[in-house]
Amino acid sequence: MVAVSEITRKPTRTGTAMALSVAGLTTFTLGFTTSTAAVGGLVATVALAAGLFRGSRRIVDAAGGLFFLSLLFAGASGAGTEALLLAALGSILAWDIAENARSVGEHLGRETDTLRLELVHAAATLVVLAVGAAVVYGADRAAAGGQPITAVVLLLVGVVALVTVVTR
Amino acid sequence: MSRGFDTERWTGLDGLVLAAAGAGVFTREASLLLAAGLGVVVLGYVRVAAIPEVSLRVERDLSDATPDPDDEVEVTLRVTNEGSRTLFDIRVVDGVPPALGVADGPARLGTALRPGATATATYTVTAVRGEHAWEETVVVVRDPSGAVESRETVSAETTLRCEPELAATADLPLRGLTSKYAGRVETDVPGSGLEFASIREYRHGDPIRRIDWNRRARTGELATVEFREERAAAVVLVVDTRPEAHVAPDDEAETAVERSVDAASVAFSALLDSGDSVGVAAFGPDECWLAPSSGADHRARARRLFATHPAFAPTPPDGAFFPSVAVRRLRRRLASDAQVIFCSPLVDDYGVSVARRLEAYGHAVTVVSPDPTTTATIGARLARIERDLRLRELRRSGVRVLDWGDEPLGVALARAEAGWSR
Repeated sequence: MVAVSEITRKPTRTGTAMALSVAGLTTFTLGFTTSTAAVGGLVATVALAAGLFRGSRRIVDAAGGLFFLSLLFAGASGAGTEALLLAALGSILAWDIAENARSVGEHLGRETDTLRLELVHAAATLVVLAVGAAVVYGADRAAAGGQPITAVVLLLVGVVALVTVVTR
Repeated sequence: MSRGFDTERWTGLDGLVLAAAGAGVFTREASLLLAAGLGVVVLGYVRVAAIPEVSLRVERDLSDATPDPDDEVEVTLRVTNEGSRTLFDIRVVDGVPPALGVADGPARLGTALRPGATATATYTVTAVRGEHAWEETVVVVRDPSGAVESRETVSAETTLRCEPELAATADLPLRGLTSKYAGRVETDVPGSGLEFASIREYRHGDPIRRIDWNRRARTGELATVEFREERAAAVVLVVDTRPEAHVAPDDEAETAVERSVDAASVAFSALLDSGDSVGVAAFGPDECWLAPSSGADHRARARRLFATHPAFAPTPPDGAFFPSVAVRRLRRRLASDAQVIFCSPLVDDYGVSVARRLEAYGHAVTVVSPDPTTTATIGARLARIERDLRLRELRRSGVRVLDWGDEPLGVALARAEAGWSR
């Protein structure tokens, strides 16, 4: 028998670097809302780093949850629309890249060159998020003005209907 | 288009979207509703996720398809997308034969492939004796969002054949039981030969050259000189290939079966060179029998047998095995005057009983036993002591035993030969 090169089933380095950069940017964006949300973003970034270091899906998901709570808090305390949308975009992207890095690491290991795979994945998600944010933001601008509470409730009903149809 | 199976990556996002929307309504903050709107867009993206028809071609190139043992062979794996759609996320794991170790570079590949595009992975394997066929290549395809995944297998037939040369690096002395053909083993049978054996009364028909004329002159009686006959032996090399024999001191070391096969191939070559007729048999689930014979054809057959027969594979067999049936079959096949060289690590009592039974049936048995034991733990030391006791028991019952440790076979032989009687 001979020495066999082992596979390191840990999240890939490329994905880890990308996810942590995006998470850092998101935290920076949250800094424009409230300090509590910024601290929340920081904690979420640290959790994401821990999840990627350990290769644990649970911790990565928990980091995504922390990002969500920070967003919720920032939104509830009257953050600007632009900052919040940008932070939401960053949070989803960071979690997506991190989770993908974990899954690629589990399938192929750290030694395999997966740069192209992960770049394509990150780019696809980024494009979808950017287009989505642009559409949502554009709709908001177009319907600018104080909405009456009935419109807000109708919007909520619309969101619920959309979610149920889309997730079926 | 196939839906594949759900990776459940995005599970829970719908709940978060509803929570954000609810919070937006509750606090009358438009920004939260917009964030929820972004979430709905992502949900839509995940919802339309589907995997196109996957049509991949896999090719594999070996830098050398028939290498010598321990040679490094470079393997180039090419994966081509033959479908009409782009595959955004494909992960390929090559089916490297279990006996071969990947020495350098992962046998894996992850990329995105446009229609007609080819991705390449290069890795190195270290050749070991045997015939190794690559298994199916496993391909995992995901849609761009990673929501669905499908798993395919693609096969490309590749075989690596590694046949070591049969080299007679050590000369295995045989025991004094022989066939009727002239050869190199000196027997106690009186007849024609070189070494003086005895003088007996003249019988009508004895050759004139063998008459002891000195005695005739002295006493006037005719007497015939006899010499020790030198004959060739029929030898069968029996290799213990039972799952029990697939043991090694550690993960990186050769298993006892591999060493046994090495010893058998060395002995085969040496015996054939000295004019004996040699056969090969495996004592294990996979049947293997090469009847004793000699000549160049026979040598080539044996070389292929040692290299590629599944019975001698470096990985343990998984078939059912009935040892007593195998012993009976082996005994039926052995000619009554055949010697047996039994290569076994003797890590269980059955190996000992096989050797003793064959010896009892009149075959001269020599046991070549590669030592797989260590002294690392108390259990390992106990196993070593047990094996030593087995060897001792065999020696006591008249079987010749060669205990082969880490040293080369020739060295072990030279040491053991000093203690052997003819």
